[in-house]
Amino acid sequence: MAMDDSVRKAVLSAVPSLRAFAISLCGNVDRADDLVQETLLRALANIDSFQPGTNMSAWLFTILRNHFRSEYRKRRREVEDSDGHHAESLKSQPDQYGHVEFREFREALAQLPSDQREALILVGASGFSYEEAAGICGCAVGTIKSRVNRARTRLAELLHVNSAEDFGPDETTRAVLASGGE
Amino acid sequence: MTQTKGATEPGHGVGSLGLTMNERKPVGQQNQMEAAATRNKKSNSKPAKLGRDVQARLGQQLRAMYDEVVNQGVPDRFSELINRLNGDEKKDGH
Repeated sequence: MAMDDSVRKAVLSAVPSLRAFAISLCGNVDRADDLVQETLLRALANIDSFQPGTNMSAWLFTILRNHFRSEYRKRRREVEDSDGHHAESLKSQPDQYGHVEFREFREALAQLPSDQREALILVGASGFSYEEAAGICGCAVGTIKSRVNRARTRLAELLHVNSAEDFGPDETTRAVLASGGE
Repeated sequence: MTQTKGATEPGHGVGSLGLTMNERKPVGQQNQMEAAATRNKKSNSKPAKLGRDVQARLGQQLRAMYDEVVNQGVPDRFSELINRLNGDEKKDGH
C-alpha cells in the first residue's frame, strides 16, 4: 500500500529529532543513523498500524526506543560491556554534536542512568509531554516525572551548579572580558 | 544560598585551628559536621529542589545541544530511503 503524502511528510519531518534522540541514546552518530534507518524501515513496513490523527513523531520514537533496547543493548553486552561505555564513546568523539562548548554538559549527561537520560531528553529537549514520554517508554507518568527530576538534580550535581551564576560567564561576558584584557 | 554560607563558614573556622577540611581526624565536632554535610547532600540528591534559574539553564543547554543535531535537517540517505520505499510500494501496488 502506498504511503499517503501527508504520512510521508510527517515521517520526514520527524527525522531530525529522531536522529538527535538516537544520538543521545547510543552516543555515536554512525550507530545512531543506522538506528534511525532501521526504525524507518520498520515503521514504513508497518505503516498500516499507525493510527491516522495520532502523533507520528511519538509513534516513531516508540519504535526507535524499543528497537534500541532490544537490539543495541544486546549487541553491546556481547561486544564490550562496561558501565562507562556510553561516556567513553562520547569522550572519544568530542565533535559528536559539533561544538566543544557542550562537552562538559554532554559528559555529565552521559553519566546519567539511561532511564533518566532518556526521560530528560524526551521531555526537556524533544518537547514531548510527560504523558507522551510515558507512552514512548512504556511506563507510568509519575515514573517519568521522577526520572526527569532525578536527572536534573544529578546533572546539577555533576556540573557543580547551585545557582545560575555557577554556569560561568556566558559567551557575551567572556568576549567582553577577553577584549578588556588586551 | 544561606545554607551554602552556613556550611562553608564553620569549615574555615576548623581550618584556622590547624585542621584542613581534607583531614579526617576522629575529632567529634568535625565528624558531626561531616556527617551533617553528607546527610544534606544525600537528601538533596533525592527529591530535587533545584532553583528555577538552574532548571532553566540546564534546559537551555540540553535544547541547544539537541537542536544542533535537529538543525542538520534530514540527511539525504533518509529522504532518499523514504522516497525510494514509497516509489517501490506504489509500483508494487499497480
